[in-house]
Amino acid sequence: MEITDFEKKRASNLIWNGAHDYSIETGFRVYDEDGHADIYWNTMVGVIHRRYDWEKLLTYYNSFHEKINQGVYESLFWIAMENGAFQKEVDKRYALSNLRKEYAARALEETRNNVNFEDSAGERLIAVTHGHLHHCLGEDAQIPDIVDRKLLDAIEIPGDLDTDGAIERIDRALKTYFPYTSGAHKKTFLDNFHIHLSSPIALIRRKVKLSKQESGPVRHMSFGYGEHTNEYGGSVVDQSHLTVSFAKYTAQTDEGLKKYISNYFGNSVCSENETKRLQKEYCYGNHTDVKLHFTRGDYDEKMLDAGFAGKMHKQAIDQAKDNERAYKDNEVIHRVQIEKLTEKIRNSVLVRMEDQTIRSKSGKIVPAKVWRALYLDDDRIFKKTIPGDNGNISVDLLLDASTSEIHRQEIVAAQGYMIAEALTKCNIPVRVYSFCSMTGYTVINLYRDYSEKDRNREIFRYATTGANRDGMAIRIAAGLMSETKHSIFEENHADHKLLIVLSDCTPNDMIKVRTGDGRYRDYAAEVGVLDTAAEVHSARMKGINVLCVFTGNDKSLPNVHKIYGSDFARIRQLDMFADAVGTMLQTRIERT
Amino acid sequence: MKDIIEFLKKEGVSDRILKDVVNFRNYYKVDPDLSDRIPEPQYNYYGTQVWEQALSTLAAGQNLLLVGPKATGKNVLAEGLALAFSRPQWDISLYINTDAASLIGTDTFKDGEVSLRKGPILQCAENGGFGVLDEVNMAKNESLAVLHATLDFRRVIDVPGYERIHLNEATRFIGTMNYGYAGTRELNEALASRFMIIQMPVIAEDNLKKLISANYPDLKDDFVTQFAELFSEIRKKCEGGEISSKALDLRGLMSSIGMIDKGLGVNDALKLGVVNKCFDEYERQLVNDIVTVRFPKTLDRESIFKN
Repeated sequence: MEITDFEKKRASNLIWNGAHDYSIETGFRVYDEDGHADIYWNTMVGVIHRRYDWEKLLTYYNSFHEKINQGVYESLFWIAMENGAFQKEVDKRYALSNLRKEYAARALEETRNNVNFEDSAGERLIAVTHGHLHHCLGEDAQIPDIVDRKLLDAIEIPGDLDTDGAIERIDRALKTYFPYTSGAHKKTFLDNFHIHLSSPIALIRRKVKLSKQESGPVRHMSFGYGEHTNEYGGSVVDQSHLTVSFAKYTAQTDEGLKKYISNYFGNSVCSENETKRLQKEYCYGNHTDVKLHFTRGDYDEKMLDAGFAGKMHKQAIDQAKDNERAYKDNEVIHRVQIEKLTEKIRNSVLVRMEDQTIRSKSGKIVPAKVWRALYLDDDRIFKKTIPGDNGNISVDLLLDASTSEIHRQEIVAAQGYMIAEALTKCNIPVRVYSFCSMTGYTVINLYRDYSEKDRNREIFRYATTGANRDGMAIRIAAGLMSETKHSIFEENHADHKLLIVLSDCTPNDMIKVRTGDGRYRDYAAEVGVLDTAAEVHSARMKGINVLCVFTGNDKSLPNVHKIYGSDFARIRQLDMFADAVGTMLQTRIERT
Repeated sequence: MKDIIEFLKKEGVSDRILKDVVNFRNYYKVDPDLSDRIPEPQYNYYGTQVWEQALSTLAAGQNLLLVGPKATGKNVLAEGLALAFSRPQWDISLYINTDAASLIGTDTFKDGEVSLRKGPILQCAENGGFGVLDEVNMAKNESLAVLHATLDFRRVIDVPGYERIHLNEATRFIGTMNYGYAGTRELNEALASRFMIIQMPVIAEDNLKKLISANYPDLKDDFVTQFAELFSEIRKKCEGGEISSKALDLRGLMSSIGMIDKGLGVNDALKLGVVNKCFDEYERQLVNDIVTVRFPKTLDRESIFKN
């Protein structure tokens, strides 16, 4: 069973909708046999979120962990909560009872001939589940065993219980009918999540054996396929890997570090003085202690032998080959996409740019034509100009090249290349660069500058490493776009400047932010987000249109709102990157 | 004519403000030739505070700019205001290529001679109308510069090659704009300073219910709530960044209810009016899911209307 990203998204959306809250974790998502999001169950998970104290429930739920009948308890827990939440919600949501019936009928059908009794507890669960499903259909439970019948009655909690009441009721039922002792679990919530991930249990034997990769967090519950995911990436960021690699080099001189960065990313395109000037110009405020390195990835063989940095550089070069290969494997598809994108952009550009003069019945009179009105009754003796935009447009594409994008390097490279190609064909100047941060340096890697129409293939050099200091990168990009007397990159004289940032909106870097009172705060979580938001704002004040193509997870969604307001496009899969940028450009071009 | 005042009274607009409005109406009589320009809004705007702010602004002789996201009732309010003050209305939709000539007027040829063909702003100004400048931030600031003298204390329009026209005392302009909407431009300060600005709030669920039941009085109360909640859920999804604002379409929702009244199934009608507004397949699925978990598939007219 393969669960597509979209179905995951859909499941989350159903949960959010049921919960009336788009900020909650959607850690528990439910799918049907075919891997589609289960409409009924996901909605109910959302409703449970809203109607009960979710934290308390989870703490209780996690106390089943590593108990002998863990799976059975978990399934019974969900049946109980579903029943309670359904009672609470049914009057508010008319579709619910129908959906529940549909679900019950389907689930009964699916499990009827597909049940393996593994032990007595499992057997009991199957009986109770079936009984519950029959109840959902408004029928008799059809359970022959009187004890099972009582268990079902006990577990189908009424709708008037609050969270504590519900837990108490479930706990009592489990104690009565199973060798169960309630135990306060001591592990943290996150620990348990982690263990869940690695220990999928099969309650009812799967029809199709899941491959190792697919079985991951998805597991079969008595009511469908549940998925536990840990999406706590956003606010707590593990920076230890950075400190370690930094510690190795702090002992070295600044000179050594510079050498290290050069070996790692390629020679700097700036002279020493220029770098100093740029550092002075950009590294202030929150970014006071940051150093800059501008490169185009130029290197000589000697650099590749320089220890760890050389090795990493070699890896980046290999990645470039992988990127190009991945692109070529689907070259035909990619070419078609480039054509489509080109058409899309060209249409809107042509419509906008050209001045049109037409003959009309009103406007500025054309004396030479007046006779036509008098003798031919042709009133169109005026000319009217439908003004085009005389200004021109430029696009800067700034790619996040931090480790968080590591699994999608080939796709980002291919998509970036396609965007650049399409814009090149439309004669729109485009600059593509990436940013990442490493051992105190923020590295800007330039692939292609405005006029370098033949260098689009350089984008395949895109390789990820290190952290991302979004605020710094945006400050530099905005600076380079509005500066007119610098020499490292080409000057930008366009009237309409667009900066499109590909990012997961979780800024994070090891160089800390100095606070007013002489202390330091991590450049991560809130500090990073607020800083980036401030930089985006000041770029906008300079007249630059800053847009974001957001690749992050649900957790960082509030971040993207804070940073970019409503000027972002969220893409479900990275292969939609070019498409999203195309649409953004189209609307921008039509309206700027 | 009377009933808008009644409606405002019922909505709790203060008597003092309503008295001003009535005085205005009594003082500035409408030219009978133009009376068909007085709008008859299909929907009423609900929101007492906004009504009070808007009415007092216009009564005080100021121009008004309504700023707010989609489905906040900017145009519904604008029409309601023209009706309340009983003034003929001119609708002026601004777009990227709007130029001064299309607003004020251009030369045209009539009976063998060149004459001025009056643009909507000029007509509105001469006749003491309410000019609704729709999507004012879509136009280029340069083309709006001609309006500066019109909108500020000078209240004049200088038509190049013709005369200088003073605005009729009853003339007001009401701008609407959706700020931060992908690609809209920043309104320049000179223009913004000539308006009083109301930030339009998102319609409250209570007011939405009022709106629905006012238009479909036969709809059962339960279902008024259901439709209002459906709309809130779609809005939440937009605010969550999951879908664009295409499905956040109050007009579409109201029309859907109208179609249900005509006999179409609930789910089908909502598909036409709301779900299909999303042209992106994924988005459509997400919106459809919201409908699915709220309205049973088999729901028809009989079950949601009283008779």
